[in-house]
Amino acid sequence: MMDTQIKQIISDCRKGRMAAQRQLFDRYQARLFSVCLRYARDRPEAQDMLQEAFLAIFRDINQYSEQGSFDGWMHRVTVRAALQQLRKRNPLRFAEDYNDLPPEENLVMPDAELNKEAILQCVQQLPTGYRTIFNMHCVEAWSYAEIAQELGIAESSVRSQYSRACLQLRSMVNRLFLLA
Amino acid sequence: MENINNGDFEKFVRENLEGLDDSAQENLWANIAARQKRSNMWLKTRYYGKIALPVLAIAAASIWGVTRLLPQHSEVANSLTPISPIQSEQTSLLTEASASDSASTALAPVTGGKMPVVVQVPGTVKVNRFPKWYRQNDVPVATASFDASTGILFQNPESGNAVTIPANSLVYANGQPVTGAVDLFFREYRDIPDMLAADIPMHFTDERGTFFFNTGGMFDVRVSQNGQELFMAPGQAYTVNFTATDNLSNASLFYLNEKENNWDYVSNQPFATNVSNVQFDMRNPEMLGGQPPVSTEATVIRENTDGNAEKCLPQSPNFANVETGIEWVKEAIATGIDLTTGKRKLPVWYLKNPTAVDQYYTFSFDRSDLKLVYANDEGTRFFPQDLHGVFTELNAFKDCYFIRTGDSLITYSPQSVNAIFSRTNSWKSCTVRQEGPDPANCLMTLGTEKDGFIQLNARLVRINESGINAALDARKVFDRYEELREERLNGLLKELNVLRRFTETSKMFREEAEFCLEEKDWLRFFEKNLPSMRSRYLKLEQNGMTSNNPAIRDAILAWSNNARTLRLERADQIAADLSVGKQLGAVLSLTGFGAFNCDQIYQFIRQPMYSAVTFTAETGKAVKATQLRMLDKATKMFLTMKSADKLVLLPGRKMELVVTDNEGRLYHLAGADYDRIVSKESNLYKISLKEVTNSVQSPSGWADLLGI
Repeated sequence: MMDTQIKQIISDCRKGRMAAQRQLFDRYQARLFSVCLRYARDRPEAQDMLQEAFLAIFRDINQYSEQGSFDGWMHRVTVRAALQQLRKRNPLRFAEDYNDLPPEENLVMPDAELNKEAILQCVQQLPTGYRTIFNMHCVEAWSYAEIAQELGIAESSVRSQYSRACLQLRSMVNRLFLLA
Repeated sequence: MENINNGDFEKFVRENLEGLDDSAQENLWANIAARQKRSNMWLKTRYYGKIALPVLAIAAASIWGVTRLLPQHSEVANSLTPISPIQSEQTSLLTEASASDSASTALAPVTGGKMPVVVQVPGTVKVNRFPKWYRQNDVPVATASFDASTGILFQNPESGNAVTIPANSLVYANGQPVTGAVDLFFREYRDIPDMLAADIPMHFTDERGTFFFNTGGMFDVRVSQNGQELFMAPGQAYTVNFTATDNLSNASLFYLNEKENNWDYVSNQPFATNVSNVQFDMRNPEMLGGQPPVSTEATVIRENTDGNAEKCLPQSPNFANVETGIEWVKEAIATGIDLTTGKRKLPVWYLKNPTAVDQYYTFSFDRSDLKLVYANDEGTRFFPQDLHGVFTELNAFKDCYFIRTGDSLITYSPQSVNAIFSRTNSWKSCTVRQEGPDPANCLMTLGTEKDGFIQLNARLVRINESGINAALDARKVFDRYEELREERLNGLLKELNVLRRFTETSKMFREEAEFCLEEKDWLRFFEKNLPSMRSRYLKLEQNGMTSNNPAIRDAILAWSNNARTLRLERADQIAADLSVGKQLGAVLSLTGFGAFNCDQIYQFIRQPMYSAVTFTAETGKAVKATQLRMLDKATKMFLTMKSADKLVLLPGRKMELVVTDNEGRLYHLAGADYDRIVSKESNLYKISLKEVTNSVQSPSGWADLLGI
């Protein structure tokens, strides 16, 4: 059940009240920023994504039907905003084919401890297409078909890129933490 | 980690990623709020419009019923009109906006107390009949009828603008007081599509020269009775509550002189002090005088990009530390001098995407042009021939051919693999990798510009002069291929890093007008302004920036401090603007009707070159241009040329051209084409234009055409 406070915030956002929008931002920005960080290659790009995500949320908040989870709706809008940003930066990125890991000297060495920030750094160093598909499937649990439709590429490509993304990520983690 | 299965690994990564807890930078909200402010006006209109419209409908029906029952203009009829527009329920749209955001200009005090209030909901009224003297263009006009003896308060809740015409303030051309019903026409030009549809000049000339306008909005107020133009009585003034579309600095008020089709400067007082009482009578030109303040191009760009204003601050070179910075500066200045003196050239592949990761360049699909050459054997044997010699590693396959042995593993195109593969000359990249137990088997990846990649299994063969398969040490050939490839890629990455350091370090030396330029745009800017860039880099060299380490260190620290100060000032400014709900506007007290413009004027920071130009339609027919307009979508700069046969040359900027011919037909040239054309030097440009008359019959038509 949605609490009354958030209901009021949503209602005020629909009226274009900036104070409510600020409340919504304060309440959700950290959570949604984490989503953007996964899709971006660095913090500035994640900041841009989050900015576009909130503008989309404020613009489309009338489309939220109040039937489903508001958190889930915000999450979906954020993912779409992130994808939109990636497309804007380079529409061909999803079609990239990287056979190799980034050269080792280009890898940024995360902290020695294998923690979530270090994992994030590894994910961020994946090529854009791999990173996107990995996030959508592994973390957001989108199906291959849904991803293929969203990105406009063949389902078989999604499967193969996902599999390669996992291999690369695993290889990076191994190289950075076990072989260093 | 190496021993866990895939499912566990994915779960481990997922759990870590889901547990991330981080926050965006503090100033992000300021950026969002700045961009959201205008959208909120629309949200309010949409939300309250649902409530206000039925109320308006009931009110209108009631007034209509009462006026049918009662004699017109009687005391009783007057007493039924709303008493105070400020307290009227119909003004709720505007007052709600004002109350919550403090963003709208305060309403002017209304004299007389009793006058009809009309709230204009944008887009609901379109007037098809205008007096003949009223300027004809495609921008919608709002209209309302009122009695001259009661006056009117007319409001547009979306723009925040309102017009108040006091009771008994109108006269005919002969000076006699007006009685009875009159029509108010109120047209607002709020964005670039409106300006395009208006077909009104967007430049200003005084004794100092010609300046371009950067508009904060225009409006046109007229009153007529049975098609006859009416005027304000001597000593009377009407009021316009005007809210600008952008918070322009140095904004001034201009009046459109329709006879001359140019703008007269009225005053910058209302926007400088946000006060009323601009006593301007269009019939009294002696009231004009003075000169409007001039803004810089950098200011115009910064203020036009409102939400992205932060990007227009000095950008930060990403030095690991000062010592690294010193080495980068030395190298970058030497590179800059080489580039500006022709010793070195910026490669196209870098200009296309200077911010990509290494793999973009090393596996990129736009690195060269390759052609598939087939042996004379029914086309089964082929070789990817590099027309520009970029993929030097292909030399390892000299005297060899490939035979396709399997289907594509990956295709990103709806076209079939065969169809793609049948292309002969449109490949952009090629990589080959030995694969499988047989040393002659390989996986070839061919890249195109648009369709992505295809990968195919192939077998390496060697043909001797008589066309018979010859002995081949495939392992040796592939080893040589890898060796050559690594050599090429290392050379490429070395060059790439020099260029990256040059681009990165250039941020220290940019002028304010360049702050807004992203890497790609700045490199284009650099290329188009080689003489001034040469001066810049040579001057830096003379100042010891390639040899004197302490001087370089001081320069880096000074630049860093300056950039930090500017960023902090900007953050404070954004916060201050938000906290007070700053919105440029004024309450204008005007004594003459007509078109007014809230603008800043500017000239380009570098005096641009002009060249003669002639236009033709796509059919080849000459276009006799009477008006030439230009739009830079990136900076939202929209301007008209003083003369339609002179073209301003701004290479590196994608200026959309819009030409009006002597028969009123409209033509367009896309920004990319303009950039391409003016990048070549010429004394007379001959430009072919596309006619767009039929597709730009409204502001939205312009918006669709130009993608704005």
